[in-house]
Amino acid sequence: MTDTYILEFLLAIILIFGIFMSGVRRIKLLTQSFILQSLAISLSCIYLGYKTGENHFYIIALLSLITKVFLIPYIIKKSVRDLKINRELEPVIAPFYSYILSAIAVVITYYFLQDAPNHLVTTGSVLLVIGGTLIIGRKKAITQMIGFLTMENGVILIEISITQISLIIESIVVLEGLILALIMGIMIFHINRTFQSINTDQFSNPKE
Amino acid sequence: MTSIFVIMILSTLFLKKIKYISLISILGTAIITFMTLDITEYIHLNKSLSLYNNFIYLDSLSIIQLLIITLITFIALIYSHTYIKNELEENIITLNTAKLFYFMIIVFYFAMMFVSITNNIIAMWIAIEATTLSTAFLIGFNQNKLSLEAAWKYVIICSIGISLGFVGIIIFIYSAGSLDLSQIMNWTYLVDNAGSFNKITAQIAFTFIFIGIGTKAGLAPMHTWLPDGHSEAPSPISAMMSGILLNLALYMIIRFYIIIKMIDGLTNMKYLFIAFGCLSLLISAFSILKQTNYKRLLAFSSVENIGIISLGIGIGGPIGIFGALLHSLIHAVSKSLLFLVSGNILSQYKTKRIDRIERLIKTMPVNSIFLILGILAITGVPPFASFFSEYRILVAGITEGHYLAAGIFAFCLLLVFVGFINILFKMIFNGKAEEEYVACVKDKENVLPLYLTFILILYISFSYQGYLVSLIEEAAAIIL
Repeated sequence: MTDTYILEFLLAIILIFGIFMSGVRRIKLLTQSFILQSLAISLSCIYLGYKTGENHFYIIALLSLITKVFLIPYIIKKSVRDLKINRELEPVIAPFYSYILSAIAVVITYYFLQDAPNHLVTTGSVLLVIGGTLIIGRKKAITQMIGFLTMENGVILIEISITQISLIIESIVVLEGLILALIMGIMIFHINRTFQSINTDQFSNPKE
Repeated sequence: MTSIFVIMILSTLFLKKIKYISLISILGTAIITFMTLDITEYIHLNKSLSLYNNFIYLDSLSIIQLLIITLITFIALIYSHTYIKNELEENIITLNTAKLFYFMIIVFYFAMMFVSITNNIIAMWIAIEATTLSTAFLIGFNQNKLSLEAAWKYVIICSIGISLGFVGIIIFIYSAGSLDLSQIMNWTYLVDNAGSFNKITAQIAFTFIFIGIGTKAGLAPMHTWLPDGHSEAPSPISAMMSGILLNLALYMIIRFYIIIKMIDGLTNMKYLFIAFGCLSLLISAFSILKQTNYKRLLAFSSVENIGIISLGIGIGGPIGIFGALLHSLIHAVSKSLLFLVSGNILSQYKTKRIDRIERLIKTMPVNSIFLILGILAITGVPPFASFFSEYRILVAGITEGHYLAAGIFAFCLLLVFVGFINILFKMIFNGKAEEEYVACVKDKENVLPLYLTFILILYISFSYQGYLVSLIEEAAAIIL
């Protein structure tokens, strides 16, 4: 395969996993697709580093590998084990419709970003939209967290393709993603302890 | 300055008695306040200050933010001293939670100061993200159902907003074209080279930044986390967040707006400010009229005031921007006063509902005086400075030709005034005639921060010939 095809292949994998994630209900499956998606992102970082010969891509790839493929799924698995839940029984948008919604989102995003410099930007934006649908369309707090992490993945894709930011700042940005995931995990634990479930529609709405 | 922070943080980790931790924090904050006043004097003479190879850059705009941050944190920490002491005595929280509270407040304080002094736009973003992280725990401090819901909503919505803001900053840097890469993240450098920006991408970038960071600032329709967040947080935290954090997010947007203004052909961006400002005003004014929870009422009032400031910046012109900056100062101080008073009322009555509180003038006379003064200050009654700031924004709106915006502004101000006066009468003066109302003992405690805040309000409202006016004028000149 020639050079461009490797990158596009990886991006296609990221995209497929993204659309796949928008429709599944089992949390284990969601976590695994998230892991594979982050792995693909790290691989594309490494590939970009190899092609352009700049060191900072390798370091970002290493950082995202460690945080998104190992640490964050570990946090998620720990929360899931404590909660003893397996699947999201009634999401707000049925899986069938959320597949269609993500497909439409992909088409619209690609249309608007036709003249973007490279494909990474469009893939990143699609990930943003899919993450957004995950957050809005689901009730369990843990899928909302995974949706947010997907959005972060999209942001990283856009970021590495467009600019050259100094290394310290990029690593701090990745670290902040990790700390956010930690905080969300701790809050899910507290929510579970107080509400006995993590369905967010059980939250009372104090709008009196 | 950093050493003081390190000392404060280490003290929370190692000391055992809360009283000492609290006193060290208050002392540290006081020292930093004096240092800030020193720097203000310096900037007044030299117009700007930059250190560490342009990583830190201070001008009048940053100094206004720094003053707000240090003064209000100082007062909030004084209030927290008795607040946490009460919570510990009544065994509502454990010692470790209290230590975590102070730790998070100091991190929050440091992050906020970092936003206003740094020159690097990505470092600004990192610091704002750090404020989200530290306040997440502080909102859910009470650990009951409502607080956890509020904290979760806050984390999710603000994190989405900040991610969108980050995308915006990235696109912004990209649209700067081929500039010197080692300097491209410095704000001062970008301002000087604003001519070489790619117009369309800069517009897209600024819109992303506006909507993303606007989520943190509480502009409608991204404000949905605000009523829950600010009403469930403990009162000193609500005061700090309402008074400082919302302002700081707007400050960040304004920094980018200054760069955008230097690119020609982009004067349409101010309509973003005007549109979202009017929307915030309308939504909050109508929500204030039907509130039954006084802390939610104050939270919606924050949305309204941020709408006013945003409207002022959007309308522009020297009068409008002066009004907006003055309003951000007076709002910070009066909103903190109101939140601290409501904290006292809450600790006495243990309920947030308006209809369960009556005859405050008899049961808590000192607090009700401050409540009346605070409400007058927030709704823009003369002689408080809020009247002058809102008046200026109104005049600027009419002279610049934005008649619809000025009309909406005046209408909403009236609605808010009516709403607040209604609440005032219900809570303070109403009561059954036969019942005996006795002044509570708790009224007298924790009043020192209220006095301090009120002194600040008076200073801002009356020191018209001074120092403060020239400071704001310089800052306005930067924005123009």
